[in-house]
Amino acid sequence: MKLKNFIYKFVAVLLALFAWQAAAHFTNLPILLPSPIEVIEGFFSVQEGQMFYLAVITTFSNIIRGFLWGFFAGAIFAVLAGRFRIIRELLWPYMITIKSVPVASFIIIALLWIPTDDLSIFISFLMVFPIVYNNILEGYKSIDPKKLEVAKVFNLPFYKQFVYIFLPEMKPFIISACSTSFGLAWKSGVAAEFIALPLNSIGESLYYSKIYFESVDLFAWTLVLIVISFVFEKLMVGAIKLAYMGVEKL
Amino acid sequence: MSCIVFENVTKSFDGKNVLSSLSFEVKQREMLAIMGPSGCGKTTILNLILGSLKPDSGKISVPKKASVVFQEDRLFEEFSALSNVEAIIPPRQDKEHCAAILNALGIEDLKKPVRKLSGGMKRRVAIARALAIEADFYVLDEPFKGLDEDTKDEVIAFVKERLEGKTVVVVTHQKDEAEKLNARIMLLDKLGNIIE
Repeated sequence: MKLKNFIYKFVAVLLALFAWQAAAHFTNLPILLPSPIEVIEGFFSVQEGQMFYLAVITTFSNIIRGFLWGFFAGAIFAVLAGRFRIIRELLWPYMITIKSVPVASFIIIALLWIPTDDLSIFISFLMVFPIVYNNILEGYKSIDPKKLEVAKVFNLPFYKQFVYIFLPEMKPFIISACSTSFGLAWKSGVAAEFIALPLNSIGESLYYSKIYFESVDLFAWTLVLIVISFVFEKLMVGAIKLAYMGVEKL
Repeated sequence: MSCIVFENVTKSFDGKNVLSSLSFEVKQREMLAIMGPSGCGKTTILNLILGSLKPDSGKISVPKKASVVFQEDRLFEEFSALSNVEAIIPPRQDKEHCAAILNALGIEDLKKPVRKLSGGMKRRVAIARALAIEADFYVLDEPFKGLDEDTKDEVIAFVKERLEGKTVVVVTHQKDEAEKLNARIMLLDKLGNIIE
């Protein structure tokens, strides 16, 4: 079944690439739509640039910092909100605002307060926080009350409740939160860089590719973003699952 | 001297009386077996003893520290049998006896996640967990349910030996289980009244 799914997906990707190649061929305007082959060549050639690794490291470290802040803040507030209704009610207006306001508006507003170099950290944080908060709050609410009764009867200290009850019961919610929010942090963080133009960042490279009509580079940088996001998301989910296996062997 | 006391306890759910003015006591170091037909309020009594339910009226007096075998095992499924038992041992207390209790109950592979054990094995882990701590009283809700008949007697004998001289309330449907445990039997009728 897995092989069959893989074949379906592989064929779908091949067809999409074929459609892209055909569209590029018929428009015959690489400045508007470069072909997939040109983009793949560009993907490798941008890596030869002096600033490539610096840009990747700058962007990656900013977004990962925003992600981690958002993840831990979201998780802590979710647990507090699960325990104390007042926290849930007090956070509600912030959550609604973050969810409803377009990310571009946040970027422009935040530019007034935050240095350009740190903007992508803040925007990534802002995108991750409500997703992690909502997922973990849902996970917290779904904890089997019978398990909590076990903790109460046997007088388990909090750290044992956390390891034996909270972590296992919230596993799918934590994985889902990480998986969903990392992609969003990555996209919104780069969008923030594109507007704020911090030095030596992927957002800056995208911006200059756009204003100089270097479409192949623009597409190639986009491909770089997709690859990093995909690889890191898989690594992160894998690391979480490994960490769980470690905890379960306690 | 009494350890657990129920005085005129009434409990109802959705307007339906499950227990009406129920009074009984369990003496220190006594084992009481509560028996009766399904729905007569046996598990309600245990939940009242454990404080998970509050009575509508009447007075309940119980000591502080309980140890329980729940009707549904309520184990930490992703963790090993040994972890499940050790988890409830208070910090800085000796855990070496946990493996011995599990072995005595026929659990050989202590590191296997509980979710991979059979229903009968899970039941033994639940029993081991309850027996592993020193408590003021023990509550066993149908503790031998799901055990195969061949080895049930061995488990009953082990539980009886471990809980000798402790205060225990056990719910069971099987009179022979109560007799093998040497427990005083409290028989309830369908309405939750004590028959004997």
